[in-house]
Amino acid sequence: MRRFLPGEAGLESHALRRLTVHELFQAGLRRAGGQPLPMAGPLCRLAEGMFIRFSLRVKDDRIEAVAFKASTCVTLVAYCERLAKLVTGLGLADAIEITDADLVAALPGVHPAKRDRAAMAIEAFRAAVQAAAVNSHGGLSP
Amino acid sequence: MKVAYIFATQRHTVSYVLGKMILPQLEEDRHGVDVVGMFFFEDNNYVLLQGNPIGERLHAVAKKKGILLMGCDQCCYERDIADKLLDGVPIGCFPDLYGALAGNMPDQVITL
Repeated sequence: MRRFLPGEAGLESHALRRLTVHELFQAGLRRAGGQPLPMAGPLCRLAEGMFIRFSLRVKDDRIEAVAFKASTCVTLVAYCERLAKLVTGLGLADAIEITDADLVAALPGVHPAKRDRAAMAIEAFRAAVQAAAVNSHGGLSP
Repeated sequence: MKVAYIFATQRHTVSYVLGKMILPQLEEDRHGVDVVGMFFFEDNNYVLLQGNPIGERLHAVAKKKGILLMGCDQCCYERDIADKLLDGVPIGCFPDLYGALAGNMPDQVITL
């Protein structure tokens, strides 16, 4: 059974239909055009010359807001945006548990050969979470 | 001579130029050049859908002759068809197209 992701509950109750890759790409471009948030993760350089950097606003170990900068690969940006929507409101410890398989499942419609972008998004996001946790109190418990 | 085709316009290029000219010529081995790849923009991507009659024939001849077929990723996502394409047909953007053709570069790129 697919693991329930708490961050999804609010989104799915408001959205009467699933967001498409295209819609998430458009939303992701808007998000990526904004200012980074206070807790920035490292710049992650990826295969094919791509990059991602997530930044977070965290309060009481809970993710209040997510921002990112990423190469303009439509699939990559869509996954980053989907991930941003999933984790907003989650605690850092829960957010870091989200896997690339979870992210692939949360965004149907991606071409099979492009699903590796989910792992790229997860890697960069986890780096940002780790950086935020270190910034807050020395890191997350193993 | 090696050529690549880019289907960029909405000028009846798939059902007519591809479907009634290029494709029959390829099937009959009388097109006159080696086609190394075809890239599809906009609504032209619908030809790459599973079950499309022109697409299925194109897919068969492409496999036989080693022709790259690729859909524009943004165009396919916009139409919500990226995961419904003919088996093994990739989507991508210009870097993906150049990378895929790097080992078999065309002499001419023809935009239709």
